[in-house]
Amino acid sequence: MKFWFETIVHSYSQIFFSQNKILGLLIAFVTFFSPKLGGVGLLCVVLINAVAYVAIVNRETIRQGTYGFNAVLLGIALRYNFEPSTQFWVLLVIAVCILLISTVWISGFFSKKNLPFLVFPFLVTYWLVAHSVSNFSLIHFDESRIYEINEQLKLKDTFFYKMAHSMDNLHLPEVLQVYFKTLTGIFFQSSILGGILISIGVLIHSRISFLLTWVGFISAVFFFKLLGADIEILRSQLAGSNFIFMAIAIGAFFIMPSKHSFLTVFLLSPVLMMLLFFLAKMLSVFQLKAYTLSFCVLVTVFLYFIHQGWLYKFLSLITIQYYSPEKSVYKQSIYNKRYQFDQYAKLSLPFWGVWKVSQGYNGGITHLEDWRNALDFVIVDEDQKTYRNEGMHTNDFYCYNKPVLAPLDGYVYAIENMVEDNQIADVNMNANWGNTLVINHLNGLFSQVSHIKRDSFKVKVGDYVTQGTTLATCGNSGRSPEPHIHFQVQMTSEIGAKTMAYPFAYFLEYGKKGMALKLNEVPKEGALISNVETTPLLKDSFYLIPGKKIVFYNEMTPKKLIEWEVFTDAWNRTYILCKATKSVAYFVNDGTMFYCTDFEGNRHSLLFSFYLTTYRILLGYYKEVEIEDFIPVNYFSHPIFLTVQDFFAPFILFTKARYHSKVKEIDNTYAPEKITIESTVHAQFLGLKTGVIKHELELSQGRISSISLLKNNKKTTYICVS
Amino acid sequence: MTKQTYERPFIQKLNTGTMNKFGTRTEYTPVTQIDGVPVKKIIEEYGSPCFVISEKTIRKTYKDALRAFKTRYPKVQFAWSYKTNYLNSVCNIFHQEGSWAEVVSIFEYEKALNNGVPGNKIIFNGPEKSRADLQKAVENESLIHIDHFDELYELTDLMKNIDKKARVAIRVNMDTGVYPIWDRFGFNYENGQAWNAINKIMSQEKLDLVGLHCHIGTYMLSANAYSIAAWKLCDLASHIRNKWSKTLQYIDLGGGFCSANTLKGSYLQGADIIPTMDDYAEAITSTVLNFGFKANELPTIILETGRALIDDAGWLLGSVVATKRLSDGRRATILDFGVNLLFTSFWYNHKISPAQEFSFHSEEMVLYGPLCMNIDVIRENISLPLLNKNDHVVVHRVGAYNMTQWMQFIHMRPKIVLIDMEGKTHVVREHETFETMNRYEKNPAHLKEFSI
Repeated sequence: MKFWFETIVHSYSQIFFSQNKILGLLIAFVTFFSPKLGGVGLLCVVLINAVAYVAIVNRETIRQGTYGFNAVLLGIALRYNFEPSTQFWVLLVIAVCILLISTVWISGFFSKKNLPFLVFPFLVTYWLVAHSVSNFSLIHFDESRIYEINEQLKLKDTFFYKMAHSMDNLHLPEVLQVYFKTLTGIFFQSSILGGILISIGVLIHSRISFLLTWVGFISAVFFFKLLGADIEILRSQLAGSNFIFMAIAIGAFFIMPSKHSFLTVFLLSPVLMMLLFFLAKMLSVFQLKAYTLSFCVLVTVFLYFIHQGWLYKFLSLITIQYYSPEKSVYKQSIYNKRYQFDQYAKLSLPFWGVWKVSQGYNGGITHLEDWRNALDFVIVDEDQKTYRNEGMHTNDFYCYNKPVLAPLDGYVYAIENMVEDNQIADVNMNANWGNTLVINHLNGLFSQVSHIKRDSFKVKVGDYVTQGTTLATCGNSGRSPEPHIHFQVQMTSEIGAKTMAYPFAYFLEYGKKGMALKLNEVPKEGALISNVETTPLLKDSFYLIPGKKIVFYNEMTPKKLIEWEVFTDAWNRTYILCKATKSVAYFVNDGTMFYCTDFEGNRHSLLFSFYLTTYRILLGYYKEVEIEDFIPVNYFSHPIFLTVQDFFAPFILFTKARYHSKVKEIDNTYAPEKITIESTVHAQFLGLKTGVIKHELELSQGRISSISLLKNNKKTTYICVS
Repeated sequence: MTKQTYERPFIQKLNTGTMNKFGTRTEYTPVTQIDGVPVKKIIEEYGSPCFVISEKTIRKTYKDALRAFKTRYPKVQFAWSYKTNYLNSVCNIFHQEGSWAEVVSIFEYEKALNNGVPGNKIIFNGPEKSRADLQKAVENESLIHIDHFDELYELTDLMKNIDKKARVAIRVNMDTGVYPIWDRFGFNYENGQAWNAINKIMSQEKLDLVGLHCHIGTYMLSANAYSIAAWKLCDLASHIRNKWSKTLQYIDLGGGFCSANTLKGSYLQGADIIPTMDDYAEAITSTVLNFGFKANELPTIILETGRALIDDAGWLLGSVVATKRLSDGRRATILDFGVNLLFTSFWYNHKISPAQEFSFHSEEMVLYGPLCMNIDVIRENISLPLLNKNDHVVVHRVGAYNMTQWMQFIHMRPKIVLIDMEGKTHVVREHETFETMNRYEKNPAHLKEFSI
């Protein structure tokens, strides 16, 4: 029942690129201003979804209204033009089937190019039906449309008519009147009240979309007036809706809402206008109505254009569709920074302990030209000296003969082991790289370590090595005046191939102020760095694999269990599902960091607390390291602040939600049995704190043992039982 | 030009030997300052004799040692061996650097707690732990290293009344190729005693076996011995893994690393023959790494080295009380410190330098302490310049054991001064006075008065 309700409502709201139920209901209500049109519209929606339910496997796409929204338009358009009769109903059923097939076909065709299918299926189906009907003598045009005045007189006293036109006599400015009528015109109606209701629905759905309906409409009016076109045209034949749909699609739905997207909407308006006139004239030759074709064509072409060019730098495409421009802004503004390196392989440093970068990228000594993206590492003491005693012998150097580790899983591709170590200060210019090892990390990624000690290799060519495996030890072979490791990432397999800039996923940098965790950075020359060593309990506790069930209960109500389960989806994203609250928290555990990537669902659920607590957790214990991040603001800010922010979201974000996490207590460092992690989220408005949420997560016996929510001096604890 | 100091003429016996172009001349480097603080000033301010500790040297030595291990192995933890030097200030320097505490008596245990070391970061070693001591250690979740079966039974019995698990390890002794074998601490590896003890522990519900420990000797001149010890501990750990499916958290290699002091009877100087920290680290880490543990099951290596971390950071400053000529013609110099303060002179030939400039001439002499006891000999034979009364000397490498094994015998114990990172001096232990000793004495009434 709920499924069908949602399917139907979404079918309506999808017309405005939304899945908002209020908007859907309001649109449905407005279509019923003319009950005959609304009725057929609803019938088509039910019909197509019923057929789809039987014919199509993925019920989720049905629920989203993917098939329904074209049907609304088709049903209304057909009924608007034709008289109901038995033959008409037969035709309608056939039309709905054609619509479903064309929707599937067009969406499949376009999705290869990563493009949306918009309302093409409606147009194609409508043209097909409308053109063939002239040969069906038993189907008649609806005369009430032709004899409009008669119809009006006939309906004048009916309830719906009265209501629909109750506000028509208000003395609104012309622009407003045209705007509202344009909105109802989409459903072949003409009503100020309808327009107001729809615009309220859009406003409830999204402040940004609401702004954009105006931007699209005003741009249209502006260019119509500028070029001397009649703005009354906007009301007829769905012409004006083209501008509104284009504005939402380009301004917020397919492209991240931003000042650039708004500007693009404005600049595309004259193009759309010309396209509108052109297509109307072209199709009139075939006696076809253009309706919303011009917006579909323009949006498709423009999106294709962005895919190819460099415009994506300004107009970033939306990758995860939340059906809410605000969410897109709030989430993606953070995600762009947070996950820009998620596609990179997670390299670790090729050594244990603290080493110094003696020569960085573009080092100036030997890291030049094609070999500029390389790093040299040495060990230094407190006085920054690389050796003890006089430093006359390789053995005096701290890094000499120290293990060199695999930075990432891969196959040992090549080993060069023919070069003797140099005397200190001597260099071997003939065998530049000295003893070298190349690992093939697959997918076109290779890494090379050079200046290795002869005969120190612990692996052989063809071995599969995992990250952190000891490969060999540091030596002083090749072009190396003193013992050090040379490390570079390359795209080809040859020893000494062209280098490629590539970040290390995680490392600790030791400065005067203590240590700092670095994410996805290339260490700078002179930096003292080490790998992050993970802590067993942290690692075990966050080892959440699909199928794992986690059960909690509130300390106060031990009988009421909260059950979660870990799943993975088709894109290999892991998530925790709380069935009772229908909440989902997506997460990633890469072995060094556990981080939640997304949350959808109930904000009062325990899963939301978990999402906030584990937004970013380092799986190694370092007293001084505190993790910081930003959380999308839509979860936190005060509703009033957020509404204000919504209007400005494309241009400026003045609300923030800062996240901190750190280990509060640990019983021992190397093999801890109990760890308490504290996380804090501060909501900020214009830099002022507007709210704080604190959580404590307790780990013991290799798993999460409890989550506590600290709010307003109240501590609510949930115990994990399995 | 300053006036040259007058030195008495003396006759030196010519020793035959291989000819060398440098002749028999001996050069001295007088030690006039420590960490930039003049020796003279320290003695003026704090008296003679006086122990000096350098914070800078401690931190540097510790960091060097840690680096030697950490760049070879991911999980390394040092535990400061309290018995080597349990001055609170010294302990706390190590704790600040990240060291845990390794104690061998309830006195040291309480000292560690008092210093603020969390209970679970104290390793309780030693052959003597009373029931009450054990109870305290269990309650504080300290690591109890069981030394013998009687201790194990005592602990098992004790645990009946405690609603907690005890974190324990066993001490293992073994043949590491170094003789005599130290078989007095813990359970023997070769005869199966250790395995027996492990099984006894594993079958106890309330005893949680978390690690293995060994203390294979002291002043170990062979790094290879540690390699053998590490292998034997790894072997036990993997047997435990196989039989009981239990992954041990750590293996503790104990202490025993050499400092650069020269042992009595050693032909070569200590610094020339001892293995370096890197040698020890290489021997231990490569054995554990190559043993075949899974990457995520590598045990933490715990080290309790004391001597090698602190010896270099301690000096003893003293003055010449008198010089005399013995009946056989040998020269003798009497100093104001003896074996009462320099306990380690029983087994080391300590390096002793003059604290002021001399000419290059030197003479073989014997160094006596101030005690009225025949045993009070600091060096039986040392070649030093002709020291005069009130001249100062500096004894090197006295950081380990002297400040814990010193005796209050005849004389009171002197001040200990710490030179901090900025070169400022701090008294970290006051000198004892008559009152110190008298405070604890009780005189029965009938013995209070007398007349002679």
